[in-house]
Amino acid sequence: MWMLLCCANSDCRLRRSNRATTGHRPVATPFACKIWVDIGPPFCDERLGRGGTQQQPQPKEIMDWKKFLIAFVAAFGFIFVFGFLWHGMLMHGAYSEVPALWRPEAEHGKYFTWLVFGHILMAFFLTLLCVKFVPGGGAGPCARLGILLALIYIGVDFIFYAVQPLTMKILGGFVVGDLIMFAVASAIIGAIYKSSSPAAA
Amino acid sequence: MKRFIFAFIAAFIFIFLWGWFYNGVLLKDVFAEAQSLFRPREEMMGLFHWIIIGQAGLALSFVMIYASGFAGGGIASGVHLGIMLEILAVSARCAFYATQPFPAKLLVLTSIGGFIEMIVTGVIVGAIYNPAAAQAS
Repeated sequence: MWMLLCCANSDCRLRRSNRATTGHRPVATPFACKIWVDIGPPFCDERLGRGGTQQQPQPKEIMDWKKFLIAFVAAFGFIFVFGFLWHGMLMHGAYSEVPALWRPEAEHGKYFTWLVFGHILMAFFLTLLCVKFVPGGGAGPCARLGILLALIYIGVDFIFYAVQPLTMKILGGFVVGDLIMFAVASAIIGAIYKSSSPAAA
Repeated sequence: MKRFIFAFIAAFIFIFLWGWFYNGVLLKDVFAEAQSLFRPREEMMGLFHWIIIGQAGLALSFVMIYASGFAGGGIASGVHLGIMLEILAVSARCAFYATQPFPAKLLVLTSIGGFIEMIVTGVIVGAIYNPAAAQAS
C-alpha cells in the first residue's frame, strides 16, 4: 500500500524492466488485477533513490488552471480584437484589390462561427504552448516564444504568396500582423500566468 | 551548434520533399478544383524561391523552438511540439476557411498532411538535436 501511495507521485519512474532489481513483484488480488508491492528498499524515484521520501511535485508538473483560463480568455480577446482591427479595418483596402480571393460579404455571417472557433483554438493552444514552454511565465520569455511562432507563420505566409495571387502589400500585412499578434498575445499570457507559477516563485 | 544545423537541414529537406509529394502529387487534383484561388503554374514557378525561403524559415523556427524549450525530451518532445504547432496551424486554416472560398475537403486534407509533416519533423529534430545523447557520447 505504501508503494501505491508513493507512486501516486507523478515522478515515479517504475519501469517494467527494472522490476527484478527493485524488488517490485506483482501480487494477485481478489479484484482479479495485479498491484505492485515493494519488498525491497521503498523508493519511487529511481534516479534520486531517496528511500521512503515523498517527492515534492516538480514545478513543471503543476498547472494553475485558474490562471491558465484567465490567460486563455485574455489571449482570445486580444487575438480577436487585433484580427478585427488589423485585417478587418487596416488591411481592408489591400484585400479589396483581389476580391476574387475572398468570400463575398454576404457570406461572412454564415462562416463567422469558423472564424471564432479558429481564434478560440489558436488562443487555447498558444496559452498551452506558453505554459509548457515557459513554466515560469513572464511577458519577456513568452514574447520571445511568440516571435518564434510568428516566424513559422511568416514562413507559411511566404508560401501562400508564392501559390496564391496575393499582393506584396497583403504579404507585408500578414508578416507584420503575425509578428505583432503572436508577440503581444504571448506576452499577455506570460504576464498573467507568471504571478502564481511555482517556478517563478 | 553542429546538431542544430544538422537538425535544421534534415527538417528542411523533409518539409520540402513532403510538401512536393503531398501537395504537388497526391493532392494535385484537389488543388485543381480550386484553381481560381491559386496562381497559374508558370507564375508559381517564377516565385518558387518564396516557397524555399518559407519552408527554410519554418524548419529553422521549429528547431529554434525545440532547442529553446523542448530539447530535454528527445523524440517524444519533438512529436509533442509538432502536434501543438499543427493545431495552431489548423486554427489558422479555420480562419482562412471563414474568409476564403476554399473547399472544406482541401482544408481537411491539408490539415492531415500538416499533422504528418509536423509529427515527422518533430521525430527528425528530436532524434538529431538531442543534448542528452550528445553528452553521453
